[in-house]
Amino acid sequence: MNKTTRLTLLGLPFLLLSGTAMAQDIVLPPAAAPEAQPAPEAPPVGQSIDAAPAPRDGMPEAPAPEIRQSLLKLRPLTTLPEEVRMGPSLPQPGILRLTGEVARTDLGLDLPPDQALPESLQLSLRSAINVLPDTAVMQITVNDAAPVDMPLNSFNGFKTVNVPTEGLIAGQNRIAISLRQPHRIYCGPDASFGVWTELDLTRSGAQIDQSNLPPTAQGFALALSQQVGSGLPVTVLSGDDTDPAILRQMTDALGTAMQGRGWIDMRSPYDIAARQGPSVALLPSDRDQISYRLDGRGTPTMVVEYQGDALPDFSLAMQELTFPAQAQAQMLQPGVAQTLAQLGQSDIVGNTHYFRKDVEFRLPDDWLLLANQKARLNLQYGYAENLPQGSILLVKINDETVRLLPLDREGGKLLDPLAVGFGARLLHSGVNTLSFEMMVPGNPPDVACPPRQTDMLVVTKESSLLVPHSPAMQLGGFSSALSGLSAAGIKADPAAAERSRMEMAAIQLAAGLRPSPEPDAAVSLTLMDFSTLPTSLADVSLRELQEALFPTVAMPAASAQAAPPPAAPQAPSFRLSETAETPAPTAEVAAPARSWSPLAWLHRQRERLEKAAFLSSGEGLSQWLDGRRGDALLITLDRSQPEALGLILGPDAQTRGISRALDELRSNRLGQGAVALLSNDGSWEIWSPVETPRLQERVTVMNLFPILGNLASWSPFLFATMLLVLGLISVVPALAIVIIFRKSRLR
Amino acid sequence: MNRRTLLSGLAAASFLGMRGNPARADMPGGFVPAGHPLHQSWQAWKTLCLTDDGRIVDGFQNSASHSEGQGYGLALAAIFDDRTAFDTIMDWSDRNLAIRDDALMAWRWRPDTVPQVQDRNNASDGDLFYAWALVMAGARQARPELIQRAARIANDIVRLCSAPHPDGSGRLLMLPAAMGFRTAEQVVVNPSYYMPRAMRELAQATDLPQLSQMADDGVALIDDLAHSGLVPDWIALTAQGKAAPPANFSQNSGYEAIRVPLFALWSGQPGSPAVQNFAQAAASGAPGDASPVVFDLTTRAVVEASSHAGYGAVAALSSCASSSAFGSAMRPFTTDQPYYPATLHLMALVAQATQFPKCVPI
Repeated sequence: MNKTTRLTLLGLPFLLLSGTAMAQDIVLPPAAAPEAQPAPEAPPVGQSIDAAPAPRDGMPEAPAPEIRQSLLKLRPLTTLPEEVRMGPSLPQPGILRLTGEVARTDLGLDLPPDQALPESLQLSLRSAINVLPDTAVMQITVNDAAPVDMPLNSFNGFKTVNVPTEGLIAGQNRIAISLRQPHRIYCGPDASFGVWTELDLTRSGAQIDQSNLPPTAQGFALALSQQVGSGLPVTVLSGDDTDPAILRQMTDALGTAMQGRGWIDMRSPYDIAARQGPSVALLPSDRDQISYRLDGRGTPTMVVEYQGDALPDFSLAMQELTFPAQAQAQMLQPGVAQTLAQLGQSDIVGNTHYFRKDVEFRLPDDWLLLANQKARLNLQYGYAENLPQGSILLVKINDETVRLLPLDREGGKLLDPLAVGFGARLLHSGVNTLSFEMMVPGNPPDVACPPRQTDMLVVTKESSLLVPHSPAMQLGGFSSALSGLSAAGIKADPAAAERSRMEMAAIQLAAGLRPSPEPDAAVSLTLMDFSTLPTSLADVSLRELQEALFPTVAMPAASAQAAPPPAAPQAPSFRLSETAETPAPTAEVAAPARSWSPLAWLHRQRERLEKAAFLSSGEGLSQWLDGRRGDALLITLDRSQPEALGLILGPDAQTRGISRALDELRSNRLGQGAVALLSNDGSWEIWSPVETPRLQERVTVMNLFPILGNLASWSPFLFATMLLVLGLISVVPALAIVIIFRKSRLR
Repeated sequence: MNRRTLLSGLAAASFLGMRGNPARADMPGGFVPAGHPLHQSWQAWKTLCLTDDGRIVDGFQNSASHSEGQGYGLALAAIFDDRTAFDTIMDWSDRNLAIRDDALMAWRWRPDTVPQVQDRNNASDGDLFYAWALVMAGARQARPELIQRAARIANDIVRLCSAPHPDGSGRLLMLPAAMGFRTAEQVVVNPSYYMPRAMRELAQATDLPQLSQMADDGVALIDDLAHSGLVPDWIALTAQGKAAPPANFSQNSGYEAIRVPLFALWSGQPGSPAVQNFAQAAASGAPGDASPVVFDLTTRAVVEASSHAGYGAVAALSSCASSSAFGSAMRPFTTDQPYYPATLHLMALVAQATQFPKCVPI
């Protein structure tokens, strides 16, 4: 072998592996190292070991580990709203806020059996700066033990306090927390929102020796329920190369166990972002096994090991994890007066200057009244005497005020029952809300409220609600399909350009979907991007769709050639008279010029007629979408297959928000249309094509008038036209008779 | 065949050898490929430890820098194939530490003294990692000059930082530095300065059998130490055998020795008695707890614990790799710790991802 051959052979592997060197030979520069093998040269031998090692690390004083305490955390016993309301809410995951001059909530704490019971509760608290110190107090009642009072004085961030308690027992504990936290300066409805105290649920609970808490299914289930109850996500760890089908199997099972109340946060095991609470780790392994361990943070972790393309049998593990079914809003039977007690509501007592209580109830899925039938609330209520002038109570149905009641006269007693009638068309199938909203001004408003000895408002549980019967009818749209949707029906569009994003979204939405009372396996929801547009959107251009779902981008600076837009009229920054209003900009400038040509007039009349003709959106989808902005678009993929739904996700769509909005749309059954745009504020805008209400029972004498009423309300134009035609038709025989008789008389 | 050709060929062969290891089949050559989620940890480590000019700062030691840190950083930059970081670290090290008459680096640079290098002695582990990093980057980036530079360092490690065992067995010891650790009667050795994989790959790439022998003898020494208990931070070796190191050296198994199981694992030796012993001793700490780090050599009692996650990560990896378990209680990387545990943490994660995929953090 000559030199060149040897060179080539030795250099070949290097070249093959070094991508950047593929096309060139490697020419090494002259080496500074000696060509000959160096003779080992003994290092110098010293007289003594005179080196001194450098110190290591920053914790030389750290003691040997003591017995580690683990915190068993408090959890809300009911599902709390995420938006701030009077009383308890979860404005941030893990943070319980109690708003108002007085507030109360019940928390749960589960302690293991056969262990020494903790003698104190750890609470991490902070209060709004508006809270009046020295007077504000939290009262903690553990089970049946005597309440413990604790002053509220943490105004500069969360402070951890230990509350001694003797009432804790092994198993489930109920911790009742009551607050009295007056505003330090003001009094009134606004001041009610200004006073709050927050409890960090991730750092509140009872400390217990960790060695007494071996990782078990029960321990994991407890941690899971605490996590979900506090509004925190459950982390699922899986490698990037995990088969999406395997991942989906697991998250579906987990979501089902959590009754759709939990939220799954998908993470890489190497993700450096802090995570809280229990995790589920999905590991490819050489065995099928489900085990419970502690992770590096000492938090319970469910480790699911699998081999091949199937998961181990989950059924037993999930039985131990399954949450109790969540109570639904009570069904209200139409035609029968039902008390609030029958709807699951106890006496409603209001003691904050702004107060609101929502009572939810359900109506049958085929309940539909669009005409002027009346429903009635038989209200039994009372309020304190001498409430300030201007105190009012609003009674609302689905956020529509149906009665305003003054509370500033004849107080101090329960009043005689008051019949509050309201239009039944304010109600709809599915979940409805009856609300009582009280506003009591401060007297005076700029001084702290004086302490009260009496309750401000009570609505008794004997108050009753009567909703009239309805024929079994439904409006069109995807509400029926949506209510039958199950987690397994949610899938990613295989043709989506962002396939992995769609799959992740499908996983999260499926895990966060509450179980349907009547699941329909035929119903599907396909998550898609803009890469494929369904036939139902044939009338909409891709550009229109992108404009609706893409975030608004600031327009680039106009080019020099572009004509400047006409200067917009500015509101006057001055006022010269106390009585005369400052003149508004002239109509010619404020509004586009209105043409009075006969053609334009006809066009306007046609538009008005179209809008009034049907209980529908009255315009094409393309027109309807124009100018609207949102995060996601819910559609029926094909009009002939109403059970096939699609959800087009915009680039900024937040899956958690979509999950909440979808759940709300399912429960209130307001998806009575063909397209729904989810706005950035979490509300849906519905586009409905012209589609007659569907009658789901036979027409009888009893239901004829309500059916006609629904049809007339659905389309007054069509109904009037029909009556006109019938009238004309009925005139024909009369005319015929007249003509016949005239003819015979003439003869 | 001239030396240059031999060097390039051996480097390539070494690289091939790394690819051929089935334990690392998913990460050729022990590199962490682009897009791997561990890159997030590397970015975080850089934010914590690396300055813009390429200096790796040990905040605990008055923001000093050492050849060890520069070597560790350079090796990690090569493993993450971060050429910018690699060149920056190399540039700073060359300008500030490569000031000796040989190819080795001065061991410490201080920002608050004049001159900033007050002791020109070296630290052999820093030089070893530095040279290993040069070999890895040289092969991956097709930069033969790096391999040449590595050869010069390796030569000087063998020439200046090796000594025969005083017992006359002919075993070759790696001195912690060129100066100060050897007398006529004894040699003081730091077992955690041995990184078997780095030594063998460097020896292979630079054709230095003495370095390879030093690695083998080092592993044998560590195994011998581990058979009788935990591996000490420092050990004195005399003609009669093992002895306690001088009084100003740690007499425990602690912050130094914790690298022994880590480097054994990184070298693909989960069965090493050093790993087994450390895993057993560290098991006294519960996950999430302050992790035991310093142990009494005789009683194995925990002398010190640290809440810095890096130490717990080494313990968790040792426990997982030396058992049949899948999934380890390693915490994801965190910047809530100083340079030293943070670096051990990242190294443990790299060792896990490249050598023990079954021990993925849970």
